[in-house]
Amino acid sequence: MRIPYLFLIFFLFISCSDSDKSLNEKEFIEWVEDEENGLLMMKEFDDFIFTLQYKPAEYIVAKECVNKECSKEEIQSRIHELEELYHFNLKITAKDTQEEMLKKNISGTDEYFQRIEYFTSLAENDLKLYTLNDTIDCGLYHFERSYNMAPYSNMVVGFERKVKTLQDLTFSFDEKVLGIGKINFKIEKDALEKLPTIK
Amino acid sequence: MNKIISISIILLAVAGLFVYTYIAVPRIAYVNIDVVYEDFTLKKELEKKLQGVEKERNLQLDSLKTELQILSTKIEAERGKNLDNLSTFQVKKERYLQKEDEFGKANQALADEYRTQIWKQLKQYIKDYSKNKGYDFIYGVDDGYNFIYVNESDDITDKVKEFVNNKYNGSSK
Repeated sequence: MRIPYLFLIFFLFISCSDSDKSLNEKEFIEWVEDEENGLLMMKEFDDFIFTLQYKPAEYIVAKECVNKECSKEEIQSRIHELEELYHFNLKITAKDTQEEMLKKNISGTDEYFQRIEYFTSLAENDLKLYTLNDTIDCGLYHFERSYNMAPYSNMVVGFERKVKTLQDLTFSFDEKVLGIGKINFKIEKDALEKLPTIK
Repeated sequence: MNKIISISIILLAVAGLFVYTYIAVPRIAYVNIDVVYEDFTLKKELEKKLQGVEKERNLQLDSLKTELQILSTKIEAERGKNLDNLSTFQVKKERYLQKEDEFGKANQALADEYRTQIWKQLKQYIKDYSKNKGYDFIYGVDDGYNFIYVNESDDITDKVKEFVNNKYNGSSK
């Protein structure tokens, strides 16, 4: 009589485990954006905060479909398309200011323009993704300026995904104009394995 | 009744001691900052990078020096009669000295830039460690030890070293 109970408990345990989680679009977005789940990471320095968001293909699709009806086929085809790359957003926020991040601690306009040039056309060369056996150069880059509307800017970054298996990913930005140097973020394989599915 | 009062007083005293120990008394520790700095991964990486840049610049200087030496030998053999060679030597010598000065300054500037980056990150990660582990003060001592006496059990150098390198490598743990 005890054995069926044990099976029942085991079944309940398995069905409640994180790896089988299935969430709707809104919940899925919240899950990915929750720092506790290991896909959003922050590094804070004296003048700047760097926030890295890893964006799994499902997350991008969830954001696209959160306010409109998407069929299962549409979702699957879009996920398949997006899985060609590892997608990230790196947000750089200037602390204790409302001015745009590019203006933080600059000595003059020359430095401001130097920073603009760096972030719009040179920074992509300083972005790398380290996987278990590979170093991947940046394959997609877009810098979103805030034009003094906010103290932060976003870097939208993509790296070619050569292998589909899950592994630790180290995102590295060897910045050259803010005086901080190389900044690394490690997305653990464990965090990637816990990713829920979209209902 | 007296017994209950006595037990209550003892319990209150223990609770008070607990609060005093864990809340009121600041948590203090020290790190040997030289050791943490020397073993900091970013420091090792940038040191290697700087050596590479210096080596590259020294190669350029060596090549100019060799040209100068060849020309000097030639001038000596000609006993200084070829004025063209003499003026070329002067121009090249000036160029060499200018480059040597330029590279020296550039190397120093790069070393300063790297040192600033290393300290900026190192200080931040030690701050993160303090917050993470609930320390109120972390004293940075160097190999010269400015303290007359320190309790070795307060030495958190190894733990800080590990934390700092994990942080730099991007781990959130």
